[in-house]
Amino acid sequence: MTDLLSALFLGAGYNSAVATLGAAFLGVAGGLVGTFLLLRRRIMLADALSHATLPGMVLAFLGGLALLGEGRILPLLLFGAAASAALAGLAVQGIVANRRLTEDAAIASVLACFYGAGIVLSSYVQSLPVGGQAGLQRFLLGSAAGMLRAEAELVAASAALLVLFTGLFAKELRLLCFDPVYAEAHGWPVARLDLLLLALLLALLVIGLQIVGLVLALAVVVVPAVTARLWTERLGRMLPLAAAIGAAAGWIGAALSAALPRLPTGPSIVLVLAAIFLASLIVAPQRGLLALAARRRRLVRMLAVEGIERAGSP
Amino acid sequence: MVFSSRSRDGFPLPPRPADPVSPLAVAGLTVAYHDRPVLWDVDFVAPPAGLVAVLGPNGAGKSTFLKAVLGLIPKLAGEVRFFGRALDRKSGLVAYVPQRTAVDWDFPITAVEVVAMGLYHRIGWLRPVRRRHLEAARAQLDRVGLADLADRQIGQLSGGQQQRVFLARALAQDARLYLLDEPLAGIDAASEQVVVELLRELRAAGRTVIVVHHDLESVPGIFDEAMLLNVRRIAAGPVGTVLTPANLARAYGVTFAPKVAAVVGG
Repeated sequence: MTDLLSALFLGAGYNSAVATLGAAFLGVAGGLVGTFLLLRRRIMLADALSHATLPGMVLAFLGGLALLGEGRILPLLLFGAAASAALAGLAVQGIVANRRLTEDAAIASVLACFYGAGIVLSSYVQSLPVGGQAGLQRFLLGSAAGMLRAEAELVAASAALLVLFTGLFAKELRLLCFDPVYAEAHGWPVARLDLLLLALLLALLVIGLQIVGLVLALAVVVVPAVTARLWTERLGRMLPLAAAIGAAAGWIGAALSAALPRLPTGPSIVLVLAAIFLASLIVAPQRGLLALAARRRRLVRMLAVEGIERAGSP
Repeated sequence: MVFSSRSRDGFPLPPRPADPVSPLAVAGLTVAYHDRPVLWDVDFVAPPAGLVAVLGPNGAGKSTFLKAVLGLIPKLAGEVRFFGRALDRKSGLVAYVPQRTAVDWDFPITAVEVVAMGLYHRIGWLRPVRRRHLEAARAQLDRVGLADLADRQIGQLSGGQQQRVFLARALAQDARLYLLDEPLAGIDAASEQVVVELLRELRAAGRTVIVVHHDLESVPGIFDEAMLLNVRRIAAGPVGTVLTPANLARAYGVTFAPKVAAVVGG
């Protein structure tokens, strides 16, 4: 418990402190980008793209091993991850644009293909008589504790950039998400704005790989956004709220993981997110289950007040 | 561009010279979805001001006509000129109001924020929506009688009120030419009255409004001109010359009951 408290207040050592801050920044960026993706109805793209980082990352590992004699070169691994996720994103857009499949089917197919290829490649890497495979494993579930200072700073700086870009384009992205047909008819480059959203998502996933891992990256994108949606009917409030929820979950989750050494960072953050979401689902003022039940009760009482017999009563 | 004064199969059309500065001049517009033709060789010239109805049965290509002239869907053939030149969508000269069903009304946005979108092209890239823009949007909402509902989330509005929000957004743009897709479909009588009043205001202000419309009976009371479509253009011109029993029979493939024929002046 004291371990957790000291981790929460950044007192559990320098490494743990940078990891906690990095996770909080990632949560902010995830909340903002996730809100727009959710409203564009492309949230599942986050799942496909995060899983699609695996084959690129493993290929980068093999490439580094073959050319430089060393597989665990972080910038190279992240570049590989970004490249294969970008390819997956463009594949989804291409399939949908040609109306070959509906969007959900396209996303599911691309996810399956890329993740399958990634698993095959990483089994091959596991069988190689070289070290360093563990460096790949940590990207599956995330391990903020293992981050170096420079890595954590990179995460924080990239997350700040993401926040800046989403803020700058907030008006354009709002138009894109609400009414893309109107936007296109009035000269806004809808395809390029979609690419911007895709690029923001890609950047988010790549910087999130070390913290939450590729299996659970979806949660950091989707849960803050859907939770914020429960609390407000206005995008102007939903964005800061989603950012705050993401930050809180990142902070608390990373601290939990630092205090309990066996708990990986990704699942830890996701559990905190899930707790915030569940609580919101119950107590949110308009859309929450309690509020819904209360309104329903009032309605039924009105029946009695007006002397109307309820159906099903004897 | 050649605009003949006769349709290709010899039916006489009202004479109208190929007007180089007509708000919208279309020649030979042809559109297909995959291998299925939706519009075939359609000519159309909009008057410099007034209300024009685009009519025809379901699947006649009415909405496609609006989307194709705006370049939202590719055309196989044909030429489209807005005010004598190719469309510059960013110019704000042309306002498009999509069908109400085209957006998600559960979106977390208020009515006044939707209307402010009509000002985005003037606000420009990356600049935020400011208080004065929202005030301007409120004024447009007032014109459609929704000032009281400006801060409601749009899903809480009725279908007719949602349609009026869309119209207010187009009004905020202060365009010269308005393209409206089914603005009178599925809305209540009060909203219909507001919309029709607005159309008349726009006509009085010298604007051209092209409206995809489905209710033949209300056409003579609202519109000056009409185009009757069924993949091909059946007829176009003043409402009285377009809605003849012969034209309607060709467009809809059925003979209309005497009541409709009488209302439409056949």
